[in-house]
Amino acid sequence: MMISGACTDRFLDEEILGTETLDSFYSSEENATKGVNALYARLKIHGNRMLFGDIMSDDAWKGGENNADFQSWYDLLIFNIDPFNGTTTGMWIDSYNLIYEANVAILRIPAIDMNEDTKNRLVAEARALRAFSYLELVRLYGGVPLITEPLTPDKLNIPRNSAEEVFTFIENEFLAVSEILPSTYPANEHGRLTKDAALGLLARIHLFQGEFTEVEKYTKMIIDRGIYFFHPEGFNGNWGLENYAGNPEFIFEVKSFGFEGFDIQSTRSLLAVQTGIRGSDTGWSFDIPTQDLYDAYEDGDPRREFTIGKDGDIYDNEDVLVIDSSIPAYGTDGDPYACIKWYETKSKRKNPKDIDHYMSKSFPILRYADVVLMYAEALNENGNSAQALIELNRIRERARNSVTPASAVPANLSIADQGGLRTAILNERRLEFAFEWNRYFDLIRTKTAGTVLRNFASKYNTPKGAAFDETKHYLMPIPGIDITRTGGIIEQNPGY
Amino acid sequence: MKIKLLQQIVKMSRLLFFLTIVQCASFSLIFASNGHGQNNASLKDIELQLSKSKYKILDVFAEIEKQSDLRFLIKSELVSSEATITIKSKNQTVWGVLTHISKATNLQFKRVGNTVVVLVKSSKLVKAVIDEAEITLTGTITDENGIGLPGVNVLVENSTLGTVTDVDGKYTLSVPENAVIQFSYIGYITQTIPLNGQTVINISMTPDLQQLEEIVVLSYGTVKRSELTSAVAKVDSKEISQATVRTIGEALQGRAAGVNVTAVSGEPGAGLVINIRGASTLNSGQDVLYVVDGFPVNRIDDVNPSDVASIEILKDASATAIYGSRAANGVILITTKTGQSEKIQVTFDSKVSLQEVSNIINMNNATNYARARNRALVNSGLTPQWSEEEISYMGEGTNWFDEIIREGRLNDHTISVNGKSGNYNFYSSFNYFKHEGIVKNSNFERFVFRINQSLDINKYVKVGNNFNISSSKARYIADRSLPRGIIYEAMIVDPLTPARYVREEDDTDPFGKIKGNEYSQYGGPLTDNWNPLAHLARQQTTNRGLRIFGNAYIEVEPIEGLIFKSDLGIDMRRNEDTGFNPLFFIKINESDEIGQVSKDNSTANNYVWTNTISYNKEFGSLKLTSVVGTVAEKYNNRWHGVTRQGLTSNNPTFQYLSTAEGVSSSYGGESNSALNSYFGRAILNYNDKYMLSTSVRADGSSKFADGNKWGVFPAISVGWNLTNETFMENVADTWLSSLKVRVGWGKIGNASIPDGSTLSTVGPYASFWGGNNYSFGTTPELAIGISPLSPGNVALTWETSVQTNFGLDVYLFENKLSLTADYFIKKTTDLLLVEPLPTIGGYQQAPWSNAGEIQNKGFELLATYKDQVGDFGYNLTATFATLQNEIISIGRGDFISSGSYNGLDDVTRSQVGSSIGQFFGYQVEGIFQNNEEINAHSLNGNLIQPLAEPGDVRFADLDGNGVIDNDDKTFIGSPIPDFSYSLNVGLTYKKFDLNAFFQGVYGNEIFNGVKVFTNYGDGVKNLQDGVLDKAWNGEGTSNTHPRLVANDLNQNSRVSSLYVEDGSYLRLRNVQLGYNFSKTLIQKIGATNLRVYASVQNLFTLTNYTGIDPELASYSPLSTGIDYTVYPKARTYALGVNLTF
Repeated sequence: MMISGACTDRFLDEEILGTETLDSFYSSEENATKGVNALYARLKIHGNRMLFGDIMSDDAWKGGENNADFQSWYDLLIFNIDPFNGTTTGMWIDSYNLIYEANVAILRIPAIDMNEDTKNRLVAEARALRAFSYLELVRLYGGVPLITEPLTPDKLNIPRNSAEEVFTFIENEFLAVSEILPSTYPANEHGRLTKDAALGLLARIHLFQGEFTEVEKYTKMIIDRGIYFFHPEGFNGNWGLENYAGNPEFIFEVKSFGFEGFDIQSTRSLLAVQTGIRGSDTGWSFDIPTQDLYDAYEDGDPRREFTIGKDGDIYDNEDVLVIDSSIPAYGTDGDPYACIKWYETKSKRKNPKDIDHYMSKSFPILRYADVVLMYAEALNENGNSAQALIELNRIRERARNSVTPASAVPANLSIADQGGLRTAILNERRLEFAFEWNRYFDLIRTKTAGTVLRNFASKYNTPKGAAFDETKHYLMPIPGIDITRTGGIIEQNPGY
Repeated sequence: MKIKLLQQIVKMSRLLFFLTIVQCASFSLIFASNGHGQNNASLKDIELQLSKSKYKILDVFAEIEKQSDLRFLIKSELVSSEATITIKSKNQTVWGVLTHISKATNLQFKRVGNTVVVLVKSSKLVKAVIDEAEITLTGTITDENGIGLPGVNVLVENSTLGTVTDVDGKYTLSVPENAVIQFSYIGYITQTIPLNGQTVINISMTPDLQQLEEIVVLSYGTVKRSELTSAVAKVDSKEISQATVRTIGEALQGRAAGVNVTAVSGEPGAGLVINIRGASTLNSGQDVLYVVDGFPVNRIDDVNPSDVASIEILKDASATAIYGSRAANGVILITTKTGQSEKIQVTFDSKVSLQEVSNIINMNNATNYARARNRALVNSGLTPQWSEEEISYMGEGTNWFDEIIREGRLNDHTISVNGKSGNYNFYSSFNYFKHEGIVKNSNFERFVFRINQSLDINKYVKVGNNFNISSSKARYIADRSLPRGIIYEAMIVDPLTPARYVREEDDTDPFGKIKGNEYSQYGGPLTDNWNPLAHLARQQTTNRGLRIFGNAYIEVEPIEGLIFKSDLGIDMRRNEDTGFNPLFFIKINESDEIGQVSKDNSTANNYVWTNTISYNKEFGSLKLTSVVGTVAEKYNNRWHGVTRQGLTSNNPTFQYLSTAEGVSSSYGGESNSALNSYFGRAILNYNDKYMLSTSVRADGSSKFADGNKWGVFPAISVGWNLTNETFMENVADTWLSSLKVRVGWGKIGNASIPDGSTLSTVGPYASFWGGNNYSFGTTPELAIGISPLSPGNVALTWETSVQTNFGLDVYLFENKLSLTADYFIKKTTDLLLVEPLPTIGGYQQAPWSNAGEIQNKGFELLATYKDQVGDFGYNLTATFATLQNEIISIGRGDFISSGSYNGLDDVTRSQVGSSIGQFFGYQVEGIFQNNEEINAHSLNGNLIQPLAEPGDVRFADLDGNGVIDNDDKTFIGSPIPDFSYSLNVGLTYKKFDLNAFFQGVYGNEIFNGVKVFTNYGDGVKNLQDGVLDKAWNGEGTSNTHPRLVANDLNQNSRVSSLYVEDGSYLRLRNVQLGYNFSKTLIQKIGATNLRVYASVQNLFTLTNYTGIDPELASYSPLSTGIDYTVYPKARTYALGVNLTF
């Protein structure tokens, strides 16, 4: 039965207040920009990236209050991984969330009547961020469903694409947007994706596949373009609060800043508090450096003191680090270490009184040093070990000159054979990029994860890494909920 | 409104006296007060001056009343208000005028004392006016206890002569000789006594145990219980007063079979979760619909239980379908009090209570805390934290419960006034309620004012209103923001820390603000937990509420039985939270050097306009009760809030937004929704044997898109009174008093989804990890980001449930024993839920869908036995209810997980084929006693739990794949009881009455989530007293409690059957002893009724459950029966007095 009448229908027509609809929203240049801004904000969900990049490798312990604190992380680092693990599931959901929102922007923005250049740039930014999400997915899960437009709930039963299809898609996208994205932005837009960022990420996806011709090609392009270069203050210049002010070394960065007077949560990053010191400071002590990482630095390598904090260290001539026994020791000699790349001096914190103080630093997803080391690795693999060594030593030289007077270590290396250089470059990447979420992916792309992690486990008599199994652990399990919810149309990775 | 009504009364005074409608079945007439002494004058001697030549007949009567002390008694339908008479002479006697009228009409007049009764002539040969001398009959009517019974109707049979007894049960009535007198009173058997020359008749009334004639309030009308064809439970005001309750919801606890009421917590002002016939939906719209005096509202916390006359609980769809979409979870009808008697009654209802904590869990003292922590460290191969010598100095340490718990106090005082004066009826009350809870700093205070009034303007028109105005002020403690509940904090914090610590100026003072700061004078816990006492002191949020709700109506009855009623209701709520975070320093992670003040306001206005036409008529043996109507409802909500940082001082005069000096942030919004309905119902009763009730309602909701807005909800039910059949006559006269069978069927809708769920929306979205905004620029500039939120779903439409009910009402042994049994099947389809979609969709908020199906089945029994043996009376009421719940489908995917807490995984799983919210986790097989057992727990030579050590938990490898993983989780318990039951025992002996009320559930499980932290932890958080003895500490010491371990590699604490406990309990909820003072005694102070009573709530609970309280409530059906600690419930000792003048 239908009851209908003009009067009744008017009575029942209530507008939704205070919330815009998708149709009305994508109608102006201003709103198109806001839509793309939100995609960048998604990059601040750091917890899972920290877990996969650092904690699953030999660089870091999980930390926290005890093993039960973030149990799903603990399950991952002991490789007791099942398809319902909260962290593997969370990473998947967050990635597809960015992909959906990027797809909406990519679909809707072209129809807006606005400045064509801005329109093309915004769409290119959204495409680059979508490709970045697929880059993160394919590294962890292998082939995933490739979704390139916003789907309604009834269209979600779609199978996985092959890893090759996903790789090709990512490469094509980065290549395409590198033709559209600008080389630089005005100062107030600094931080948006540039042509070099697209090229660098393109190099990274080729590196992951061991396609060194392309890696060499694109990293050389970036170096030759000369827009990005080492931080003039050296290695440590990257980690102060000043790194915000247009760091020439950061090619693709996640900017977070606690704006006073605004809803601070909306722009915050929790990375500083996650890695901050528990007990004596307002931190949670996750991502705790291992003794193995500490020992990997030569004594006197300036990078160590800008990466790893010890009890009693003085940070920035101000804060005395107090790392006491309220944090589990995790196999270190005496008190544990702390990751201090994201530490902020108390006097400079935006809201020091708050339990969860928010990071106001930039986090580099891709920096110039990475381009240089990718270039070095590609040169070495492509048979030009001599040039590769020069590039490697540029990194070491820069590290030495990070302090005044310059340190003697790390000294330049002189390795001629390709295999030795390969190991040296991989090790250099570990020292240079510790806590920048690279190490674990370096271990799995070079297929050294099993050896390295099992050695670590036996050396430190720990379950961490002991159970790494080459037949399955190069890939994470596809989240069980999506296998169930698609009725098995999405298939599981082998071994899970 | 009230003033207007009073003006009306004055204006229409005299005429209205005559036009009063004779009400209902009970006889109700207007009685004149004693005049000034014309009692003995003959009508022929009373002179009358009439100025006009033509009068309306009624106006003539009015003139006679004006000019004499005579009063007319008239049945309204006898004289048309338009009938006129021509007067021949201006100066006449009353006799002459009345004789004249009698000749011109079919009326005759009979004068008795001061009263002139207007009658219809029985034949043509009668005297036009009978001017009788009176016989004065007097007497006293008493109740079964010999106490004078006020308000008894005393009637001369076959006449309209009558009176009512006064407050002492006394009456005086002028009656004709040879009259037969009838004494009647609701709830008592009517007695008829011939005069036979007596001038004094004293009788004792006998209670009528025949419940069948109880009037049951239904939606948009009332029916006699014997006519009822659906499952309706009733709770009357007497039962409410016997329970010593704080809220109406509490009064319903265990009173009706199949109705579950659980308190969310023992916190002052805390809500109740009321659930009728189990959860039948998965969304958050679980709320029962309350209808207060015909006006639908969502909350009844603000109604004073003393104001309630009766509560009806409509359980099955055939009764509720007329409320359509509003009735998805059952309907509770509340009828508030009205004026009771001609004499104005003033009642004081006052009680004071003391509360003590009814149960608490003892935690380790300082010595045992240190021992436990040391043992956990040693068990993990680490160095103990304290030496034996250090431990020997520790002693008891701080008992945190002693620090935060206090004696609770309740004050509850009501004064009410009621009365009726002919056409005007009123009830008015004022209530003051204050509750100081058993945890420090938790307080609730409330004032409630109620005014109910009605006025018969004339024979056709009646107006009235009911309004409830309440104002409350509450200070809530941290309990609401789980997981940092204050009880939990007190459990886990170390006992080594002193509760208070005087911080001198020269102490570590990073912010320079400690000096004289009251919030800093507390000990700082050694662990990273907070000091619970300090936390309580900092809980400074004050909630103030103002609510006005009620309705005003007009009823027009143009012809008998046809009533048009228009009723406009409004529910206005204002809420204000005033927050204050003080400056303080206790330790680095328990400090605030900035401080903050906040103000949050919300406004809700609901309007409901109901128009009905009801028509009730008897056609011979067929009785029709019918109603049709429309309802229009509008809901408006507005909210905003401001937070400002930067306090300059904790001084109370600086706790305002204007005096803070830092940055501020704000928010605000508004929402509207509307509901429009058309409905109709007809109840047919043939000869009191066969009853048929049928209704239909069409609802349109603004929440759905065009084309899906409307839903139609029909219902039908039938009843058969077998005992009224001739073939049952013989049985009916012996042991079977009454037997009725009922069958009902109905369909109801549910639209409990957020406004705008059909739309694809965009907006800011903040998660724990950060929000939507970003910062670009070499100097950071805020970049606003906006995201798609939900794709929306334009196809959304009504969730519908179809319920079938089979019922049986049996009365046995002269109604001493009554049984009501019901069996129901309720199937909900098109469940409105956030469907578990594949996450590759990427929606920030998954859209609502119509997906899934749930079925509830249950059996309910209510049995009552009452009897009186001499001075000793007793009654027993028992209820029993079962419930089976099954999820038939939930759209895509086959389960929904819920109930995660403080780092624990989800505790429940609602899976197709199973019931809602089953506990889901690992199956524990005991404790590994030694390495051999660990080695034996293997598959093909590989250890199943390679990280386990002796003392760790052995988990079952259910899928047999050699590792303990997600596939080994299984259903480990159900929060749904096999049955719930209650027993109420009432005893009376002379002037004493004793009432005891037991309630319980059987066969459910509880997930004791607190144990995760208090029984099996690493010793950093404090553990329960006795854990040192219970925990495994060497081979053979325990097979149920794992060892204490600082580094739990085996994950002993994961969600498992270790935490699942039997949740059955039997609780003596309330016991009350009352004493009624004798009337003669209290007469001296002019009182008519004085009762004093003492009661205890929560006297004892029988249970095997080891947590604080087995009675747990949850707002979500997906996660019930999980104990994360709540504000503990109290044992309450109350003293009360009820005094009526």
